[in-house]
Amino acid sequence: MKKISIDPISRLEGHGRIDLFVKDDGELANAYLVIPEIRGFEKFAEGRPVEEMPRITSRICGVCPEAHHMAAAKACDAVYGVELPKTAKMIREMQYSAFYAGDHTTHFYALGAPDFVLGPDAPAAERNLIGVIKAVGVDIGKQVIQMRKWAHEVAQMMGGKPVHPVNAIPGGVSRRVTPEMQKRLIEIGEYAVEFAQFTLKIVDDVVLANKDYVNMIVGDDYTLRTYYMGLVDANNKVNFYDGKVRVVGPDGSEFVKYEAADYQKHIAEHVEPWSYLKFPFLKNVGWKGFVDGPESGVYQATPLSRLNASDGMATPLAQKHYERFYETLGGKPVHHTLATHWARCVELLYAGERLLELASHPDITGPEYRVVPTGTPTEGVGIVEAPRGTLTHHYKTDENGIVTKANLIVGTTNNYAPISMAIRGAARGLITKGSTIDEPTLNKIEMAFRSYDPCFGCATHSLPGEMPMIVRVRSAEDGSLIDEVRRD
Amino acid sequence: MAPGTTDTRRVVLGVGNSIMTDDAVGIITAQALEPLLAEHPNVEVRFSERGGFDLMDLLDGCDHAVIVDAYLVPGTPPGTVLSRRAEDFLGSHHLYAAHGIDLPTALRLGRELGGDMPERVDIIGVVVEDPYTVSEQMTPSVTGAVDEAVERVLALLEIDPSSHASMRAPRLEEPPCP
Repeated sequence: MKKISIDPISRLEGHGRIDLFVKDDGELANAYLVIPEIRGFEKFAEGRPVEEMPRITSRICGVCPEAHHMAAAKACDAVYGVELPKTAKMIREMQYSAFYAGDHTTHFYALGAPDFVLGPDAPAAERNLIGVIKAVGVDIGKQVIQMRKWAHEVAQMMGGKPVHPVNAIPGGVSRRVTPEMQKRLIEIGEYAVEFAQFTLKIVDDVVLANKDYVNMIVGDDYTLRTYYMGLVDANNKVNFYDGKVRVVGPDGSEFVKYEAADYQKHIAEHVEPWSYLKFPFLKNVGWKGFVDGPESGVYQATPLSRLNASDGMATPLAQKHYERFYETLGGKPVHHTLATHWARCVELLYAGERLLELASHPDITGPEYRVVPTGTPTEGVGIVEAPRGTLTHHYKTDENGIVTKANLIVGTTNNYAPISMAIRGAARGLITKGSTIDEPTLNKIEMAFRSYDPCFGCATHSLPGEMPMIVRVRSAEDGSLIDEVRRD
Repeated sequence: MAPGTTDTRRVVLGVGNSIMTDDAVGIITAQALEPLLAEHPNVEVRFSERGGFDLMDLLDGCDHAVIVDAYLVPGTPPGTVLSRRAEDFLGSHHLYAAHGIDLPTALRLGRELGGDMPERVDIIGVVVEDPYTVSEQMTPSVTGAVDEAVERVLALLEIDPSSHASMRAPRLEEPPCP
């Protein structure tokens, strides 16, 4: 048996490696994603005042600091047993919606769109955002940049730093929204709605109008039938900031809906000897290995999962697209990994609409944007939907609010098992007896991986060198290197 | 404006994650450079704990940029300081800029969209030992490399390091007392 490693030496946001185990006759035996673990967080957190956690945890990740900031702030609210005033909640959710608009924009245009606008077989050097802009026009590039900039402006406006937000504090937020700020927030919200609609039109024109792409999306190679997780509001509509965690089965029916504080009753973590990272699964179904279906506790937490786990979107335009999504792809739930890109764009529209809705609400400028916690701190769990999946922060403190124990389940970790399974599914369809593993083949395997927008660690590091990707073929028997392909 | 002339607008950009052990080295080096460069006209020190698209904004408005970053190079001793130019890196291949765009793409995109991007981008990379443990304390070999990284940046900026009385790595802040 051969082992093929796709080794993306990442520069900016963590790195991972894909190992493909190929039998001597060329058939794919298995595929795993191997990623490094962030170590020492618990130790780092212990002994610190819990109110520091929203600021500290936001520094763990250079990709989604806002998600950590919000989950930590919610966990702090729970530690102190404080109920937020309506305005405080609205400000947090408004700000979080702006973050989503920026984050989903980046993923779609920089990572998702190149495979579809330029095609999965396009040369790697062209299959990027520059290629997309060349294909669709410089004006669109400028709009993408503006959407990101304006999303950052919301974070900055609310008193936080644009990179590491600091304004959510136990009991609320540190700064109110003035009428002048509201005016600008409405303007940004209006633009976000317009931009998202325009993005969904690109999905229509480029992806859905192309029969080959639609066939690829709904094909077996990119299909996984698992449980799906997402936060929902009181009406079972998608919510990024608050609500209950709802899990639906592979048949789409509700399996469980629980409060954040009960997460340990429902989620357990499986350990494999070849990875330091744990594999979360549904405790009440059980770990049955890297397999899908109703008997396996593997679940996904992605934009597609959130749509599957909900009964719809809470805003009108996004709801229309939600309905169209399921009508086009054959009803609920949708099991096609590549449809995650489209689901992400539906969420982009929801984020824009929600931002506008909250920014326009008269109560957003209300004076009660914080209550001072007075309860004795104990223990608390905060859950939000990070763009890459359900994010859980859990802290225990002593009576002085000093952290004694901390636990995080981050967005991508939820999807660790399904990503490996999705890669295996894609590779199985592409790597068969006698086939060559060329650049387009590798890219199609990576497409399964990319749709999850996985985030493996934290900000920077790793060599931005002459070897952005190495493919190693090794003998599984003795580990000897059989072949090496470098993608420069 | 051509790099090296007195009117050249120069930026030193420290990137990294300040709570991921050695990944902080770019930030720490830039912090050490800040007081040394305070008196120099047309040199600005910037910091970023993010990459991708943000690089485009951070490099906008200068002629010559020197980026200081952490490198993870298997087989190379931690603390080794490497010099590279932006053109040494080829276009984005998705995975090695997992959530956005890489440096060459950021530069090209900035130019395509009419930005004022630097003509020359140097990268000083310090090979790191541990960028995965949450800690504000770098490992000794990487801490010991900060002085050399500082000197390399000053050399690239054509600033004589001997003109500065005290050049040393800044002390890391102690974690707050519980």
